[in-house]
Amino acid sequence: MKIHGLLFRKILQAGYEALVRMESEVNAINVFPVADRDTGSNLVQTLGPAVQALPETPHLGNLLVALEDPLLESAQGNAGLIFADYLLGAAQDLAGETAVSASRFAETLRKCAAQARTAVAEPKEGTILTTMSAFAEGFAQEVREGGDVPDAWVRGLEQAKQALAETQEVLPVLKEAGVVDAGALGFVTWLEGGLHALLEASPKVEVQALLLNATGTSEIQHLLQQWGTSVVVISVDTRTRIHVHTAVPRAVLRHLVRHGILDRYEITPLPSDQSSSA
Amino acid sequence: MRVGFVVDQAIDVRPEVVEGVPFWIIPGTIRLDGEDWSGRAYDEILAALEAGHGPATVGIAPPARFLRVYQEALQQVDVVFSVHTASVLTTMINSARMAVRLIGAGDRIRVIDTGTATVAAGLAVEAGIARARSGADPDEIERVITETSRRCGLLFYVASLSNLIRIRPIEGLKRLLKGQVSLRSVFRVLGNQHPGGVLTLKDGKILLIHRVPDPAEALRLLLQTLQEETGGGSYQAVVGYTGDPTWAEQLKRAIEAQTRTSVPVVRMSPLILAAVGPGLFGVGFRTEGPA
Repeated sequence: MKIHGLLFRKILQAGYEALVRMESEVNAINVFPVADRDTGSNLVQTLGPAVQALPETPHLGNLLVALEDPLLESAQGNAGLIFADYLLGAAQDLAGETAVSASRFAETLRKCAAQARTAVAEPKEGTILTTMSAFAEGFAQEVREGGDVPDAWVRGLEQAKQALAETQEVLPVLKEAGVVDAGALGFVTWLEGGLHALLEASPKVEVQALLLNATGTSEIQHLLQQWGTSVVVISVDTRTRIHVHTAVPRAVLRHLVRHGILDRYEITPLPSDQSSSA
Repeated sequence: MRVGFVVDQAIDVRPEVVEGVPFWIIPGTIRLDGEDWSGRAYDEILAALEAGHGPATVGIAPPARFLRVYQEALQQVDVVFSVHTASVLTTMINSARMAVRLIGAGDRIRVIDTGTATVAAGLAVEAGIARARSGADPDEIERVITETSRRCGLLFYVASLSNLIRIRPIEGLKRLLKGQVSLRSVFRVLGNQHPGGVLTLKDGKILLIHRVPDPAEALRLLLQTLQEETGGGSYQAVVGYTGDPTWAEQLKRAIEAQTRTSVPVVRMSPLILAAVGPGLFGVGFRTEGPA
């Protein structure tokens, strides 16, 4: 699967919309580096004009280059500057690319995370920077193991969420306030919004599995509903049958083994009219 | 070698000091009642705040604003000194640094973190300008600004905490005290809960340290704190204010009596007005040193 301009446009928009919905929550937990309760607003103000200016182009590089000027005009606050630099990194790296593979995109994410660190004089761990690096690492790890873009995004998001949860351990000021880092939450929120758009636009497969001695079937059901459609989770005695149409079969299986013994599974391509809503 | 100076809007430099010097101020962003007030006149913002509008919120200048100014400046001068408010208080300097990186001007643009703000940071800029007028090379000018910044401090008195309590800077001020910024605060609190008192920020908490029955007591405390901060030695001071300058003039005369030097009074920038509100009085001071 390739990431092209129209797909990444949807990802950017959905990520921004997720940030808008979470603006107040992100503002409320902003205690680092300055407790000025505006990280959510800064991220929204930074991304808003850029998202509104997005051209409808299939050319990924052209789409990203079109972000540059609006981002430089609108970047606000530490997290906003960092996020702007992150996307500027993508624009610089992919300027000439029409569409890129998962492995090429993984490389870009690594460069973006590195570039974001140059946006501040003293980069600190336990912040948005850490979640950006974690996303890049998780994405690349999944790609190395054979996953395509959607599975890699999910894996990256999981690692970013883990890094988000750990921000409290890295920055005592967060632990003292009983919050996670606001910028990091903002980035994870953007990733979650982006994932929603990515899943909608990606080809799907049918996953059928049999899980033995399953625990937490309601949790499985909830997760599968986030990741796919036609979800069926039926338990009889110790056997739980799973069915889902999803773009992230590897993520589904990875999670199933956490909830029981994966006795057997089958991944079947779906007819094209059922496999993508793109 | 032609040199110029760029400052962010949270730094207050006396207009007469920059006369004849290539000098640019990068405006921040001011929002009031959901609207962009960045381009409004000072008196208009003051009137709105005094009429109870707000609270205002302030934002940094985005990198593009720095880029445009740097491009213009580099056409006129060989080296630009981009001098900024403490990075522990605002991310303005990071926006400047991003613009410098994008413009690729190497050491033709020197970005300097003063570690302080408003009239105190202005004193550091003034020292740099004075050295530039004497023909010093860019390295020497940069050194003077940096060294002078370390010897500058800022004290302030706020006639009412109401604006600070409603808006964010009070949190920013807490952070200041944990950083390298030489800043102590003297607040007189109006209202029923704390009728007349002097507060300080310590360990991130606002503490009532002294009762102040009236502004005269605040004046005495400011002078006393100035003496403590400067170790009883000689110093140069500038008084800044937002809103009514009457009390600033009293403060000026009191400091002049103490130091036997002339103390200028400057109106602080609209950004400072919006961030802290009317009724702010600041004393920027610079102790004597090798620079």
